[in-house]
Amino acid sequence: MTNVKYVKQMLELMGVGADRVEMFFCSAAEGAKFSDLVKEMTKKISELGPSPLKIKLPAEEEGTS
Amino acid sequence: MQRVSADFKTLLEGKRLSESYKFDSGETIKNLFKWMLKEKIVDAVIGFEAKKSRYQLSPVAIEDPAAKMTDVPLSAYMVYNYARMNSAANFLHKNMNGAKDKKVALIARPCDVRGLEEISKRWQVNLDNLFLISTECYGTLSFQEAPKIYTAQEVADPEKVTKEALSEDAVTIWVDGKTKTIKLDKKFDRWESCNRCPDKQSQSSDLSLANVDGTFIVSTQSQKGKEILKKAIDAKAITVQKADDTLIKKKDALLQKLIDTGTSQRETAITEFMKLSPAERFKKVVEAYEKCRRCGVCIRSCIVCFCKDCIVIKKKDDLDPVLYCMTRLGHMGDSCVQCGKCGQNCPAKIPLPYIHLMFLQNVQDAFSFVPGKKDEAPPRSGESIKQLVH
Repeated sequence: MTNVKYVKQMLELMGVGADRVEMFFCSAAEGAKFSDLVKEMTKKISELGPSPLKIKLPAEEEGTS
Repeated sequence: MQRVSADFKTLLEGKRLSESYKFDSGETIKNLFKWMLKEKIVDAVIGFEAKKSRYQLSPVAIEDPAAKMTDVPLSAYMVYNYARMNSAANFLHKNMNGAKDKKVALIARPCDVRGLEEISKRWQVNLDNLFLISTECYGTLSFQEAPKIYTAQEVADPEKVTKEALSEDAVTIWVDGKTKTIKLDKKFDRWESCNRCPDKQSQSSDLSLANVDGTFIVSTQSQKGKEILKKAIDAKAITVQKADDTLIKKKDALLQKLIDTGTSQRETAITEFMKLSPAERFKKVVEAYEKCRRCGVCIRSCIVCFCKDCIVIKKKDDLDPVLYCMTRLGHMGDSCVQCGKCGQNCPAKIPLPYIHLMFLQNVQDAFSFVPGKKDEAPPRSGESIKQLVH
């Protein structure tokens, strides 16, 4: 949890937004709760829109160069 | 938003213990070091080497009391610091095994001391083995820019300068028996991180060293510092005079002025940044990160970076520049002690100390943690986590 709190500070600093990362606790038996959490997070992210951060992964870089 | 680290109780105790002496040249410190090695008070000292130029100082470990020690270029160290990626804390940690198996005497800046506190929390240095002389830091000038400016100001040969001293808004140099004062301005100024720093002295060292207009003043701060200095004076190993009250008041006033300026500049910078919108922050931080060349100079300059097998250096070819810098922030962002070396050395001129300062403000707000203080567990350490759970 502390690391997630820390990453939120990083995203806040960079102007990307702390809301884009969350940590939830859920056991394998709590199927309904998991489904609700995923829906909630998906809704939140869709409302926030695309992330301004465009990290290029090595595979993509090879493709362009 | 005050981030001045002076501990008032320690300050008072320090003032009661404190005795101050004055001297004129770095030779006094050289003699003190030689004597400490001879008497086996320490096993090694961190000295200075000026191979290419008197402005480009490198640290060197000296263990033999009979070794030829160059006259400690004390004023040059106090104004320019060790050059490039070197710093007293870095050298002690990386080249002297963190004083874990030897007693070491060194002259360190307040930021070095804060850095040593932080890595001591991670078992990388043994602070009990140190005889710490901390400087009262008036900021530093670029070791590359300064000689160029001195030449432009018609000082015949910058290498002939014998002494320098910083004051509030100027640097005075001694050459050919004369002094020349050069005002600091937008073109020639201290490093930005130094101007934004209010932590100009360390309370936790054994001796405190200042340079006011060319006169060096050494003050005792700990019991150990007091005893050893007294022994050295009684054994006639060093020649010093008692510093009079006027001189001490002058020194304290100059230090306070610089602390006040540093505090206000830091607060202004933080307040201005915190007002920025996410889009503006993105522009300031991420667009700066995009210039990163993944050279690793920031990592090697950093006092608190200590991983022998740094994953960021190892995986640099797989890391996007922004991810490289973000990973660094994720690893050492909560231990940055604002020494400013990363920004001074970055070839892409990314304002790393500035970005880290803003991040430290976030860390302070979220975790109530300020790095560099004794006995304060870092937020992601086992000790802090234990307290959360209970």
